[in-house]
Amino acid sequence: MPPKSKPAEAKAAAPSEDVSMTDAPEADSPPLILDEHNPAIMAFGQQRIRTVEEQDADLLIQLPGSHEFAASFEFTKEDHTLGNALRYIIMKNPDVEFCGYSIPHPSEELMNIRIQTYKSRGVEGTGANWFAEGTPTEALEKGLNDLIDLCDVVTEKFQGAQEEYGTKMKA
Amino acid sequence: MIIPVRCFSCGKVKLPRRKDALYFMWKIIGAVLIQVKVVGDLWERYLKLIDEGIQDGDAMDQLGCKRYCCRRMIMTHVDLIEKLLKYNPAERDAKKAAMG
Amino acid sequence: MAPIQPSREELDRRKASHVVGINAETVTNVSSTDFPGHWPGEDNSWSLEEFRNTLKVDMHHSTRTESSFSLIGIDASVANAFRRIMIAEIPSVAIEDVFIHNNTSIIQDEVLCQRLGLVPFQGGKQGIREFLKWHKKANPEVGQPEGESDKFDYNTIILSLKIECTRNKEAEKGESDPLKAYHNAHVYAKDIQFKPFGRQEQYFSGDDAIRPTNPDILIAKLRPGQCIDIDMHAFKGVGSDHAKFSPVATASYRLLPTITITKPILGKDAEKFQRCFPHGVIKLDKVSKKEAMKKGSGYEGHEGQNKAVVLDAMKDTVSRECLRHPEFEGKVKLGRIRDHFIFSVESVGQWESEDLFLESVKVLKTKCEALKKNLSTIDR
Repeated sequence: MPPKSKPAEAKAAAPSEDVSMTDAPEADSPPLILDEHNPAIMAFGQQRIRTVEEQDADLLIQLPGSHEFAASFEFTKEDHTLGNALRYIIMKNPDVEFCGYSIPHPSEELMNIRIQTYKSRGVEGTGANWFAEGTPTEALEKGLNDLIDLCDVVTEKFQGAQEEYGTKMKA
Repeated sequence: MIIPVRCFSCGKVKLPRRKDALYFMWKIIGAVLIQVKVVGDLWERYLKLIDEGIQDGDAMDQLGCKRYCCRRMIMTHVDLIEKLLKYNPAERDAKKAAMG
Repeated sequence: MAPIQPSREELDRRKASHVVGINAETVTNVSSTDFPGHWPGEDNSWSLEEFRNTLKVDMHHSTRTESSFSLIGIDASVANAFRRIMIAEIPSVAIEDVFIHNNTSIIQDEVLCQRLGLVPFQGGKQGIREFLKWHKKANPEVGQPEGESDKFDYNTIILSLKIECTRNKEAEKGESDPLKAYHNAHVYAKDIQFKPFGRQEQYFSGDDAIRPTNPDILIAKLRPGQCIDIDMHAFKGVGSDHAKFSPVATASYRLLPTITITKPILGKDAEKFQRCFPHGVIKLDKVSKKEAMKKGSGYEGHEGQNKAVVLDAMKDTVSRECLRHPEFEGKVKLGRIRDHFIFSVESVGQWESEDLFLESVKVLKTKCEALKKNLSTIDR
């Protein structure tokens, strides 16, 4: 059973430790940044993607099957939530020949994304522009950017629908 | 033993308080607007409705217990705690202590 | 290579391909095909403009605790990400630490703690979402250093429950209802006291006080002489850690059903057809004179009879009952629109149901931003 000396401690410690946090966050600026223990914020400080495997002390080896136009990325602490959404948006990239994701083992918090891009450049003016060149890392970055844009549009549209519903209910 | 706080499957707790106006509305609009939140606060209201002679299925409807996962929480519950409460050493112990 | 111009039939077929076919035993057309290179001559690459033009959001109904809306024109992978985030990654406050000073009730300590953890709480919106920060647990191997605390007004909510059951002296002799015969025979969630400290007064006072969303939740039952005396600490957490932190009772989506009547269903059959669906999905109309006159319509000579007409396919549960009867064979086609998601979000009370969805979009965006930053520092 936990000790019986309980909240008194917390009370005593609160005022002195708090000073830096006193400036209350503005209503609409996300104060998350101040929240160092929030997992979403902690994620900014951790290295959670890797394409290169560290073996022993300083020997670096590529994750298997990687070259200029193909690479696997290993994400820690991600699952189907991001994996599938990212896979979809990367597959929408015309430079990408193949994209897939997998979770190698359910009890490890790891998610792998495999990206392969086309090697040959398209012929200009033929409309066959999906044979363009790009590295997997670029494709991944574009995927993340596109997903961020998508989120903005969804928020915008949802708020529009909320307003519409609000006015309809009032009428 | 005692009614669980939430539905095991969906995590609903129980209904917003059943007011007659709301109930009336529910009758008209259907169960769309009012639904069960938690099962923990429905049990006693359910027993009251049963005592009033309402059928169990109808009683659960009135409580806003709509989904079958929430309904089984109430339907299959056996309130064993009532039996265990009959054995209460606490009062006897207190009397003994008072007598020295 | 010039782009290939697909034929009309081909285009119709592709248009129909966003409907998932539902047959008696099988489903068809299941996966999305909107990727570059899938259809010859079609672009299909990601375009924000196009997405902005095609995405549609419809609010069906919305209350504080429950809302339903449609997202039209989005892929299942993204819709599913939003759903998963609502269930497992949006933070909410729940009791995590329980300090039992005394518990003589017949509910065992550990059972009581578990029940308390599941009780949902609500309180000032700004306080819970912005003022309250995450609490970091001490490393269990090292433990908390002596005399130090990691619990402050900005990451811990202190609650207490102190209650004792006594005999009601005023009760009639032989009273058998424990609620009348004793005081505090039942312990409810409303008996939990919130103990604000530090700056919590500022954020959680009056209507904004931390309180159970459902005050009538039964926590324990007592008999005279039994008592419960506990202190509780509530923290912020996420559903992936424990379901008690999940802010939704259910967050789910389904695809919009379609019902296409390809050949007329008339008379007694129409009534039977109507009974194959939930109320309000199929209505019965009379065959008009004009329809009965038209040759090849299937209505000839049936003027004045009932015919089945689809009224509101959204209400359908897609039970496929109508596909079991030989009289409807070849007369009806069932399907679901692949990119029309009807979301239904029920909040347990801490968040407003609409905010939950917006928050889930925000969480996904934050995830991407964190990883993008990561990518720039990756070892290549």
